[in-house]
Amino acid sequence: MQEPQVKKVLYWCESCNIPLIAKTCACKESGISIQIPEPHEVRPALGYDHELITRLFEERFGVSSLPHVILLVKIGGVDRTEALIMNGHRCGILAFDPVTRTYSLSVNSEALSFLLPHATRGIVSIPKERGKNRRIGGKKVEVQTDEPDGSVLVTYGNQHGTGMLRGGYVRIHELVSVEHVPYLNPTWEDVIEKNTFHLKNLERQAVRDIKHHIKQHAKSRPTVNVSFSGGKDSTAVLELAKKAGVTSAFFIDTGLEFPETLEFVAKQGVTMVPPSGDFWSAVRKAGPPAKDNRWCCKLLKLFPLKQYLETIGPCLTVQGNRWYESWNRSGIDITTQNPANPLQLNLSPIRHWRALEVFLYLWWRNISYSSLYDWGFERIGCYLCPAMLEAEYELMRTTHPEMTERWDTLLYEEAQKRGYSDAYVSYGLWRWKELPAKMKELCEREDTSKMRKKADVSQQTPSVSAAPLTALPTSPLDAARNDFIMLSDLVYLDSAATSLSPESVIAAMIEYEHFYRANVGRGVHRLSQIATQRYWHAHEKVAQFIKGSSGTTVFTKNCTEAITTVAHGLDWKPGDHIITTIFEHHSNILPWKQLEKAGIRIDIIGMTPEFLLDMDALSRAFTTHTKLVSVCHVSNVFGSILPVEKIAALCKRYNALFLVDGSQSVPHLPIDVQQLGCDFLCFSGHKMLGPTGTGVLWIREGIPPLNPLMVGGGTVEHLSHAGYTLLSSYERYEAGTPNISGGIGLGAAVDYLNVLGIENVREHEQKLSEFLIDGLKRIPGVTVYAPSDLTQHTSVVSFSVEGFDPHEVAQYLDEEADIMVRSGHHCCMPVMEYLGISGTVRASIHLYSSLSDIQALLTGVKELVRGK
Amino acid sequence: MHAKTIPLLEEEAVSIRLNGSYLLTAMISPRNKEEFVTGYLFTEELISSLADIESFRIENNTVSVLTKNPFKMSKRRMVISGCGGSSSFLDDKKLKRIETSSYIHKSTVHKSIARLPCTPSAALWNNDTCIFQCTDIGVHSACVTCIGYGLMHAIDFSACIFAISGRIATDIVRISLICGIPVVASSSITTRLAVGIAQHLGLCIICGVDNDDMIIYTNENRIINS
Repeated sequence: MQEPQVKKVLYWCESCNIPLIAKTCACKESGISIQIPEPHEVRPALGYDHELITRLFEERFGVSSLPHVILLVKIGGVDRTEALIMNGHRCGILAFDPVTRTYSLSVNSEALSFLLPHATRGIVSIPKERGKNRRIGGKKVEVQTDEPDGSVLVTYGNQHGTGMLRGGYVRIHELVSVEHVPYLNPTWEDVIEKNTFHLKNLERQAVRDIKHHIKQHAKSRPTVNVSFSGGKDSTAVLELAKKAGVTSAFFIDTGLEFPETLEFVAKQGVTMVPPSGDFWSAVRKAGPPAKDNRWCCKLLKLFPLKQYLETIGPCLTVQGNRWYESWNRSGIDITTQNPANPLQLNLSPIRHWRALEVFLYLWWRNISYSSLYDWGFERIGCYLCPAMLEAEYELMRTTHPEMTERWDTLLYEEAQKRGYSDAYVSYGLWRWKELPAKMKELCEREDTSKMRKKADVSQQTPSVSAAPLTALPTSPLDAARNDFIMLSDLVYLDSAATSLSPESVIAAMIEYEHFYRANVGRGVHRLSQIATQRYWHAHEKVAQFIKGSSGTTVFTKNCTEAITTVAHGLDWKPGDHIITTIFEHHSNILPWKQLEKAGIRIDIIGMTPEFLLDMDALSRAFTTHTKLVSVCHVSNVFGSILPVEKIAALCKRYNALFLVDGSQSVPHLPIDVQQLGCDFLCFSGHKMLGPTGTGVLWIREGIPPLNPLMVGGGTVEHLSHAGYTLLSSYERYEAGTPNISGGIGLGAAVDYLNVLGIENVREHEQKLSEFLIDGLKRIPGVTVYAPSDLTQHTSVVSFSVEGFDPHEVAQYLDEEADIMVRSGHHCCMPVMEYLGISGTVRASIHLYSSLSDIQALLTGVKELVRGK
Repeated sequence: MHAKTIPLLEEEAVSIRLNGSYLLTAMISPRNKEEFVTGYLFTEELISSLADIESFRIENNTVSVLTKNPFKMSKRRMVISGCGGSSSFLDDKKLKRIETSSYIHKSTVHKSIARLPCTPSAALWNNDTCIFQCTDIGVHSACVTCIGYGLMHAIDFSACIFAISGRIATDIVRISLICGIPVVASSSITTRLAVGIAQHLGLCIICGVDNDDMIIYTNENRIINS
């Protein structure tokens, strides 16, 4: 199959006065060649553009009637810059100035033949000196004129030309003799009629190409579809593909589409792939995307495309990419492998069509296309795309003011943050990470460094941080994702190790540091008083959260310290017995193992094949010497929920103390310590959205005071040479300066969870866990370690992939899919030894996890399995 | 002959801190500390509602309050003559007029005063029911405590009557206006200034209330016969 040539010329039939998409006209005449500069793109001037050009000619030259058929040729410039072709001539340049936000029109001598007879203004006459015939073409001549500065027609004797008038001088381009030529004024219907033969050829070739490649790849890519963007090119391709027998098409909704695009797409009967990335969160972290920093494409297009392709398998995708769209696409082959995804082979059957051919084809076949083109938009895609011209963005300010207002607000905030001037926004400089030469020149010319910065927009307009998600959240938990900036460009499924903290927690800590950084205790000054009260109040909040206000709530640095405080704080004697389980984290085994040296006996209870606690074995383990039972509420490996109320009843019967490690339960389940029946509840603040370096030990009222792990400042009621009396409140156990901002942050975390409602969190996480477990079980080679009764399970899912070490899996997911999971033994070596495995991959869900996160994980695992 | 005994009132010096700073020491009854402090902050316009309070900590005889934004606290303190503070300027233009159309039955007025003990006391009544009554070292403290209780229990002050023992001076008038309580009654007397302000701002002052009679000084339309 011979590759078509790049069209660097436009043919024009002088007899019919129409553009041709091949050399010959239907009238049998051969067209003249008009050179078209790179990227060689030609397009018709549609409604808005035709009106614009007509208005400019009328304003400048008083010419009110222009040909129906006007073509635009993209040429290089600071912003929109296009050559105009009318009546077979390149007769001028239309340019948008991003500084003045206006269009300018300049004409050249080829326009004179049809302009001169009709022009009533914009004409500068240069008088000939008697007896002299000087050559003024190319020169700058002083003139007396009332014409405003800009492009002018020049008359000099019986010669005519064009020039640029500025400040009383006209720079003359050239002077020529002009013949008035009457031109036909065909319509676009005439153009179609004269090009029908060529359009048929184009269509036939394209359909043949599609059919050929469908057949060629039938075995390896049985699925064929069309990638539909809502633009004119994919609209044409959709039609061609249908003629070739393709029935499936999909549209990736980036979440930043024009509403008209969505409306148009909805009418086409294509599969709509919903948005998955959160652009408005991501942009706060990454800054606005740029032509040389298109992070948005990965987030909003490639990622959902990847997920969609996973559902359909290997496919041949017909798409509307064309050589002439941009310099980047100027060399694409008919088929190209999607570099980001081996599942997709792209087929570009109209790669050699110019926009002129596309529109003629759509008109010829009477195919509807997006109304945005007639409104003046040349490209239809994300409305924030940095590749959009400032000319189009200026148009958007009229057509879609709410959208531009929102984006402008963000841009001005960004400019302020970076210390840039207004020009960052008003000239569209944000569109580049590194300004190209032409924009640097513009900045120097306009001296942007001296531009006054825009006034603080935060007081004038709502901050973008308060902007809603592009898709309406369906629950408060959807909206909660906005509070976790890290989630904007990665998937975090390692919350069992440590959770993320929402902005309100971070803000509470920063407020402490900025406004009342002082030590807690008995300081009299107001900063100390505020710090002390807020730190105390955080204790109260945590106590209320677990319904343990009657007990003592101690802040520790983590759950490990909380458990160790109990281990160290109880009075032990040889022969005492401790029961724990095989599910335990090392932090709930090692403190007890250490006591073995003092003659304490430890029993470790096993689990059932269902990854649940062997309650029979536990019951049998109790003796009269059992002093303490210490168990986790939820396994940090399997997510299994242990029956702590039943265990509490056993403890009560045997008069044993009962410690519950609630690290994996308090952040995810409603907790009532009275119902749990425990004497000690230990948990991590940093797993429940609090800062790292925070943990909690709750002690039931009535338990005799423990020997503190540390003594020191702040723990005593009285100290003298004779002795000391420790305090009875939480201060007894918090010697020295505590993690004050951490504690205050933990209080803020509780506030946050209370607003969302822990029951809602549980419901949300349970749905995601079930979806994940079900999805993993369907992947060949994947083993899931979870109870089959998912009411006995929460938020932590361990699995393994046959043929892969868990660390390999975790590394793959991180590098290939930006997914964070944990791998290894998870500080639970005994249970790994029991199962006979080195470790697992662990995905742990939290309230800010989304279905999209789970889908991404499943997609990543499938890719890994498929790729081995 | 047995010696007459009268129980002693309990009095305690309670130190109040607001947002870390010392505010004042009030000599009050040790009961209802939280109500007193809440009412005090509200009537001194240091908070505009209960929702402004972030935390309340009572440690022995110190009450520490943190508001939600402790760094943007109003420093305005209007303490007027009467029990409880030093004198300062009272500007009735800054007090809101009572606009409620609520009315109180005469019988409720009689009942509310009749049930007050001899010691400095105040009570809030609504719908012919005593919502809260307390005794304190001074009438002003008792009134403030009533207000604090009302705030903590989301009482609609616009439908209440404030019954107090002791004279109705401008400090009581001011408290009533700030809370929007339309009627204040006492078995004692009132002052010319209090009457002038009350008349102007829609508050009904009733004095000399006993079993049979009462003197309605201002805004009589707020009182109806049973």
